[in-house]
Amino acid sequence: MTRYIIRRLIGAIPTLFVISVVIYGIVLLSPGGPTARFEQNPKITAAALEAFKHRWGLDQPWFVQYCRWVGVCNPDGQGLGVFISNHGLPNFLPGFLGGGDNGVLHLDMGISSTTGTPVMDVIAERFPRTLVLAGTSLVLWMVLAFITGVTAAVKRYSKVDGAITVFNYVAYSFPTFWLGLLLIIIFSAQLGWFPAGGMWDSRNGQIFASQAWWDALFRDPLFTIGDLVRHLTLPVVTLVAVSVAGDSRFIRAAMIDALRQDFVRTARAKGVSERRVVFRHALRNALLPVVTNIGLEIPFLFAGAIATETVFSWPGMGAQFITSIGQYDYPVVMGISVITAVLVVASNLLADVVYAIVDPRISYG
Amino acid sequence: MADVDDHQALIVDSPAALEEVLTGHPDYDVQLESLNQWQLSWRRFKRHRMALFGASLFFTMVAVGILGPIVMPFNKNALVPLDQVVNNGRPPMIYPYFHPFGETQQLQYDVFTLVVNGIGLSLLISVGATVISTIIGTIVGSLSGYIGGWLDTILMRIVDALLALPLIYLILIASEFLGSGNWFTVMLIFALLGWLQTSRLVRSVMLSLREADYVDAARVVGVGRMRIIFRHLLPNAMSPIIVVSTLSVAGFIITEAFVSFLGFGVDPSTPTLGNILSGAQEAIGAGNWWWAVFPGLAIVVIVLGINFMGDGLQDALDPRAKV
Repeated sequence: MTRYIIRRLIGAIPTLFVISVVIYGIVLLSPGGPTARFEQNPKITAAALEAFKHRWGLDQPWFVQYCRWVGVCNPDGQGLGVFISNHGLPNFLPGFLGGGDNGVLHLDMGISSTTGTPVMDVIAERFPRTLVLAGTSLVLWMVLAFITGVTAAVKRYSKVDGAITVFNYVAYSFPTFWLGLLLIIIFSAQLGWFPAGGMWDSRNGQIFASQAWWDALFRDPLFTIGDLVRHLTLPVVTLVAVSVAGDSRFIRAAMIDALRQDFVRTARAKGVSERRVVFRHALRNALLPVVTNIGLEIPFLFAGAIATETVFSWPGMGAQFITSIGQYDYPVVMGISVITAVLVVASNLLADVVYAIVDPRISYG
Repeated sequence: MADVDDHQALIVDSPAALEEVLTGHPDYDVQLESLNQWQLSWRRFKRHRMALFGASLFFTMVAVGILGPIVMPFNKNALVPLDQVVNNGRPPMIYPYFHPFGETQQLQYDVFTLVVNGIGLSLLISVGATVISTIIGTIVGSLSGYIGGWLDTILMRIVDALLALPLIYLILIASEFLGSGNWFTVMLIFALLGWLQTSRLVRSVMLSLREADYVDAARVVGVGRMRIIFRHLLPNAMSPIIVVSTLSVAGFIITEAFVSFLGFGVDPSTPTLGNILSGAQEAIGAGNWWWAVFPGLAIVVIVLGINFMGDGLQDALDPRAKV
């Protein structure tokens, strides 16, 4: 098992290498080049700009730039010494092992070309907000997918099954962002039940996860949590409604398959209650393909988060990504892309490992 | 249509049917006719009610998309007559003014005209992108699956890597940093980034087909590699390719709408379904809901139609399915 995990981890390296080259390549090809934006920005001083150019090798050929961006090359090195950190060891090692401190490998992704803040700070601020939205949606989405999928499979060809199938088809055909607009029209503009966007009340609320927000949470937990939930409802409903459809169909198919197996007939013949047959015998076996599917769906969660966050002006990573693209803020764009790619690769890996653990029939040498 | 049905009445595939034909139509000679795979598939497709429903939805929209811009062309410089100026655009109405989908805010464009023109351009982009990406994906997948070896390793590594990032990320980055604006560029960006899934699918089909006896036979006779791939294997891999490319039209419709909605797609003054929606968000607060609702409905109808059709095709093209 450990060997399998290690082999998969090593296998992920070329994947991440190629995606980083693609991301870097697209940005490098952009008209005006990477420095154009920095030079126009009055917020970034000449000294900071020089330091930035040196650190990222923007006056060097593209392969040096890429090498420094990744963090394998040391900006202060000369000749072949570029691969050696200031501590005399290979630069790609983590800082505490004597490696360098620059580049993606050392979680240094440069500074935003619009605000001048380090990209990691931007991501650290935005990521928890996306996590709140995506995490809540993922939990609800799984629960609903299981309930509808299992119900549809157990009551196959009934009216309930028909209704669930029709709902799935229709929901599956909705563009996420348009469903968001629709919900805003109905529940915000017409009925006024929920706010049309944002994550906190601009008058009484506090910025999420700031010191003031934590203070408010202890002073008046009901209001603070209520405020969050009120803002969370519409985006979560949007994300869940669109995503639940695919999984629900998938779980239905897996359940129908499991219910057809011989051991289910045996269990029924033994006189096991239908409830137990469905939940203990069939569902446990239907879980296997579903577990793998969840890992493979994490990318869709991120893609969906871009759409919902923009429509509901949810100040998370997806909205930041869109804003940064619009501003040609390429360090932030690359930072968010890299983090997302790492998360996706990690979740795929996790799905495979969980699959191997859950299914006793599979063994990886 | 009647022609085809008469024709099929003569197809006899069971003793009971034979008897029925004999007693029902004593004047006819009994004919045994074998249908090829496509005729069988068409037969199955015709019996799939949802698929027919989906196909009629989709092709209605295609007809609207083709005829719409001819019948009611969109003119972005057309101004509303002074006596008809309303602050927020008119809600849907048939009389006294014909605006079945209402008017937009500010410039008071007729939403119906916009939608009809948008359907055409959005379909053009997504069908075009589908055709190109299917061709790329088929070629890459065939070479990777049939030839295998290091070529397979390299190609699939690249595909894996590109799939590690949601497609929409790459499309958005490419649209903004490489520049887009006219529909052709947008279509190319979609096509050049959208072939990944197809290539994986074709590869997996090729991997199983290349072990078939007829491939060995062809190889023994001395048929070249490219000829085996394109003449012997690809025709057998057509069914899954058709299903996936049908469904990918739906994917591209939604992607185009989203990318243009964000302002990174086709030039904003051109009506595509996404561009129409991008202005609508601000108008919602002022009570103008129709601007956002009707273009979105058009998207849902197209996508729903394609999804139904794709499901029907999947069943119809499966050679193991019973007729």
